[in-house]
Amino acid sequence: MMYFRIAFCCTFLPALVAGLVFAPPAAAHKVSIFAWVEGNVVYTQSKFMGNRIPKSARIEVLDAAGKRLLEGITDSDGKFSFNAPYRGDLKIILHAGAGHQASWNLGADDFAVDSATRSASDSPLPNPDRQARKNDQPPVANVLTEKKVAEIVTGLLRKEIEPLKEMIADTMQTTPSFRDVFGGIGYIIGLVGVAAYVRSRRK
Amino acid sequence: MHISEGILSAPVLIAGGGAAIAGTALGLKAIDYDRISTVGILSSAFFVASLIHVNVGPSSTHLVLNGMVGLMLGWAAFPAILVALILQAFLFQYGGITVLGVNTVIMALPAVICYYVFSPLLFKSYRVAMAGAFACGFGSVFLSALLMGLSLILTEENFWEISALILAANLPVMIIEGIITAFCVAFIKKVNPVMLPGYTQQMSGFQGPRVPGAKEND
Repeated sequence: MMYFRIAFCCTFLPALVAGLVFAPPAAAHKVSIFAWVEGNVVYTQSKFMGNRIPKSARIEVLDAAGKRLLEGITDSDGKFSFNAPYRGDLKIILHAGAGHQASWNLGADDFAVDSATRSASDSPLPNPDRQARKNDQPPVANVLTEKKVAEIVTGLLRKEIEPLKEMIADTMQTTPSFRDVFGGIGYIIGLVGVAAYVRSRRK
Repeated sequence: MHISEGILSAPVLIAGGGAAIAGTALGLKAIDYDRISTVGILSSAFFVASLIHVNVGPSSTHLVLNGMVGLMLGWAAFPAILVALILQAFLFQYGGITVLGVNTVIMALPAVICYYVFSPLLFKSYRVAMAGAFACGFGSVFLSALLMGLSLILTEENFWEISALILAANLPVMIIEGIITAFCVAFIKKVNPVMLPGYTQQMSGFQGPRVPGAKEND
């Protein structure tokens, strides 16, 4: 038992002291990237765990078949945006150097809202089922075309959703919780128990 | 110190996996009944150490503690580090499952090398012992950084540039680990020198460290 205690003192305590001195409980090292679509532009936000930013890291954009479409470099905020080459599956890979890499997949769904805007017609009276409704209104009201309405709505939605997307980007960067840490230590203690049991049976 | 998933090519992954299996097999053989708890404790220390970040300069790195693990465990550092890395991969998303072998070798091999190089120094004069312990902590991270550069050789364009980058980023960690290792060794020497590798061979010919009277309680 004494043995155990000493080993504990020798390894854990310095580690804990070092932890208190050198770092806040936040952790870095794991790198992540989050991407979202606005209009025809794909925005990406890259982060190391603990809110450190990979500056001028290389970003690669691949299509579904793994062919490289374009490449770029993150700015000082870890952001990078590009015009989507097409509206479908895209794989965005962040190369943060020294063995750090993360990726984010965009699917056709991510482009869905904007596709709706696009498919909306420019003519004031677009399709027959709406025509019925619109027929009792004076023709002047038709200044607001379906496309314009769609544009206004998407614009407003975008404004509303923007902070949410940033929030999601933040929550994607999970830092290990105490539960993870103590869970891991628990696993190790369990393994020690199993090893001790196996060895003691063998004796 | 952890290489992420999806960077390395298959030959590197397979070679790393093979080396990790061999090292772990040797390590498991080296663990006798009395050392199981030490292996567990050091494995936990290694597991937690990665959460301690050293934010010096532009890069952010974390403690590795593989020098200390190697010094105390020798070949048993392999299973200890492997277990800790598996848990880190699942719980912290550090590294990954396919790169487990490579990451294990990157961190455990320097630990074993440092064990052989520096453990004979621990019971020389105080200064030599302290210098040896510091060099053990420093050197193990240094070698790990080199191994990491080596394993990236096939995927990164410029090996020297990448290696220099990794070494520079880990320099603060090397110094801190050197100090921590020296501190730990000084403490263990004072409190319970039997735990250190040089002692048993030198003084009594025991296989592995033992604490008199503690056997039954464990």
